[in-house]
Amino acid sequence: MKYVSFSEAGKIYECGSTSRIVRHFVNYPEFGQFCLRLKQFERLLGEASGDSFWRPLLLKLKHYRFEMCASPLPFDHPAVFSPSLLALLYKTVKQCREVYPGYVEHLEDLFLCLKTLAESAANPLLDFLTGLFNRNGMHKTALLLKESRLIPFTEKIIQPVIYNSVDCINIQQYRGSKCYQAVVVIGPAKWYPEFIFSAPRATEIHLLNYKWIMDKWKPQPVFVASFNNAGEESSGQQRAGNEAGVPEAKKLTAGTYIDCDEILPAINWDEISSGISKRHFQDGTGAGYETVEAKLFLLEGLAAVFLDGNAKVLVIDLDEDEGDDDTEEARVKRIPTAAVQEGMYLLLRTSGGGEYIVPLADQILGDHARRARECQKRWKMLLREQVNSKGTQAVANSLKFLGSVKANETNVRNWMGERNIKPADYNDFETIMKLLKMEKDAPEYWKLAEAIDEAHRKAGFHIRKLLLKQVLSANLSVLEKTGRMDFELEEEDGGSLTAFRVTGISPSSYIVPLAKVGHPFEREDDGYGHDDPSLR
Amino acid sequence: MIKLGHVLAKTGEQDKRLIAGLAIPARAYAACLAAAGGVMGRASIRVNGPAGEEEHFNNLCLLEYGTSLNYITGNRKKKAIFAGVTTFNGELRIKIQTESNEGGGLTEFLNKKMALAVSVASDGEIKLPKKQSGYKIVTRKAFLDNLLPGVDTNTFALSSRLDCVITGPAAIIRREVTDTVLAVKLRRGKFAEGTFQDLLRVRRFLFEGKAYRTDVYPVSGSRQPGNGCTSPAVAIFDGALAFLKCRDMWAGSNWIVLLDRTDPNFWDGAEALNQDYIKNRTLKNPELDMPPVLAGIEMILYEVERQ
Repeated sequence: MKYVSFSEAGKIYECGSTSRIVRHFVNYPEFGQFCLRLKQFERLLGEASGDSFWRPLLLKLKHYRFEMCASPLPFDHPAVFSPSLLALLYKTVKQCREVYPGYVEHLEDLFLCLKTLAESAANPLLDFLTGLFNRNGMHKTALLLKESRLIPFTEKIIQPVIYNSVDCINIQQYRGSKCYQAVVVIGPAKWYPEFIFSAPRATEIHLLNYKWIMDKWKPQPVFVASFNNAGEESSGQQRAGNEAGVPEAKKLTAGTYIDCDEILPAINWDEISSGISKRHFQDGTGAGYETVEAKLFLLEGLAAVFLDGNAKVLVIDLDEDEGDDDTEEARVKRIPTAAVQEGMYLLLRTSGGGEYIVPLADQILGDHARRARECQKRWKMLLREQVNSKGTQAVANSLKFLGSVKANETNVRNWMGERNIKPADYNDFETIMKLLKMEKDAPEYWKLAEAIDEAHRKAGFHIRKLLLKQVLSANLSVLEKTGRMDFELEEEDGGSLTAFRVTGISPSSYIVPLAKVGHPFEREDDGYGHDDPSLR
Repeated sequence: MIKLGHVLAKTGEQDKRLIAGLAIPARAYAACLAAAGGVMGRASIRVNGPAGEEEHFNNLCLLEYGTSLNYITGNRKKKAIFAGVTTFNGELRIKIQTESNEGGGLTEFLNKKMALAVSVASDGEIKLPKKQSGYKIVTRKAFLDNLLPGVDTNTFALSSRLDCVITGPAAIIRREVTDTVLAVKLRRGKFAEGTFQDLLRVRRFLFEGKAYRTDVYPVSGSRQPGNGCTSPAVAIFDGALAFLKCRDMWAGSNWIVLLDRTDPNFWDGAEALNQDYIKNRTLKNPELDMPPVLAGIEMILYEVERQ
């Protein structure tokens, strides 16, 4: 939430009361053929489309289809098309002759369609846009894309062709106060949040969509009993079409269109989660290690991260303006994972390895670091062994018997976890040490645990200070536009942190290896398989 | 928005209260405007029941010598002390001293009518200056006089009452309230400048002890309304989060719920409001003198039983 001037607010309200929506339908039969063939092939496969033989190929093809519908890029643009996709399809055709001869003909058709597109370098959406801009003499215009990732590529492509000033923006930027003469929205309306159309930032909204995509969007009333009889009438917008929302829809017959929801990549939370866990346990690093309950966060740029539901995370909140702290500094803060919302920017360590607090805390601890960490590791490991052999409840009961006040299942789990440094009270710690028959060591171990605790606090404070310096001098509009930004910390071995925009949060939690928490990874369901070395 | 605030501030039965929810394209200034309407709607209602001229004068006569006073003369407020009672031209008058003895000890004799400009100060013991011109009560008087026709703006600026509360992003609201320069048109094409703060007198943005009419509560803040400010005439929720988190704080007031359509929590706020409508509304539709709702805005308006 940012400060908006009175005149800017006036312009927004003016757009809201006068804006109209104009729909445009683009036709490019070769691409239409590809999209429909892919749909038919998936239908033909039925449940088998989820098999490991078909799934990777289908995901890649569908992702290509989505990105080509969502951006004015040529069909052979390297940002969306890789020759390896064609090669994979070709290879599958060959394998199919042996394994699934019944599907060969369909798959060959699909291969030919894709080949034709890849060789054509055509760009029907851009051609239409050029005509639209020239016909209407549009200036002060924005091009709204669903995928932030595709913005830099689109900017490069449109610059030499469309001379008028055009801002390529994403959904997040549209929430700002800037108003335009016109906004061109690429793709069906249903792909976008309602506010794009109900809180317009332009007097004209042009919806640019392929002809064979069925877009059933229509404005929804917000309130059950609107004083002014609801959204559509009150907004004063002229919307092309009526009940169906798409005038062309009536002309589309079964088999000649695709529902827009079908094109949109679906998020399979369970699959992403199980993918990362599987990889972890397969490489042998997972055995015997601690697991935590974590939420899965989708990040801009086809990445994802697990975050401990009970921990805190560092975020940049460009919307921040709460409370009395009206400074830029309020934008960088540590908040509980549960408070993270879509649109915020998570700061995650992407180079320098591991958790960013720990190495710095070790530097602060100096010569004591090794001993302190060893001691900490030792008592936690012994406590874990007790839990593994007796069970959490039994250990909690034993601790209570020995005099612990706060021992219960949850606390025991926390105390033995690597994320927790020590119990809050010495009394609880002493009883743990009694249980582990290390009573004599309790005072020394406690002192070392306190030193670690203090070092962690200092490290957190220091990192935040370094980050603030970076953030305050950075052009955050780039972060807003691309959804990602790297921050190199100024110190030796400081490594770098990357701010990622949160694009989705899993509705439920997952049990994942602790070692995987807080480390961004490339999504397994990424249909196109973009390779991002920074996430490795 | 001003009209809505105005109507809701003046309406409301003893056992019913009104709730207005608005889906708007941007939250900016909506709360300030609604609060402005609310304060304007209540400005003509005196803060305390008017004590009679006679009663007020008699109370002042009973004060101890040296009691600290506030004395309003024109658009200025002066410090004064009570200096006793005297008869002047056959009329009983109170004596108030406004300048120190070293400065000549200027003392004024006020009759019953003039004594209405005097009130007991809460400052405790005060030291009078040698010379005193007082300080301006209303700095932008022409602006305020035009917004509040028929209202004594000096009294308005000196008496506290919580007419409106806004719960929302306090730092942004502060900028909107204090930094936005507004103007009202005077005769002969001239303009008088002012800010929302001149009208709203937001307690949070005023020095301690100054008279207020509005207050702002941040959504994330821990501050709770004090004993004296439980049920302002209008409670404005600036954003879905403000409504979802803080609505119980102002359960005795009329509500204006502003839901910014671009807010990530917009639909949660709308859903909560719809549920409240379904569960709590009375069967009677409120009949209010409201202008038509602007295109681009959607509004729900209903009445609930006061708890």
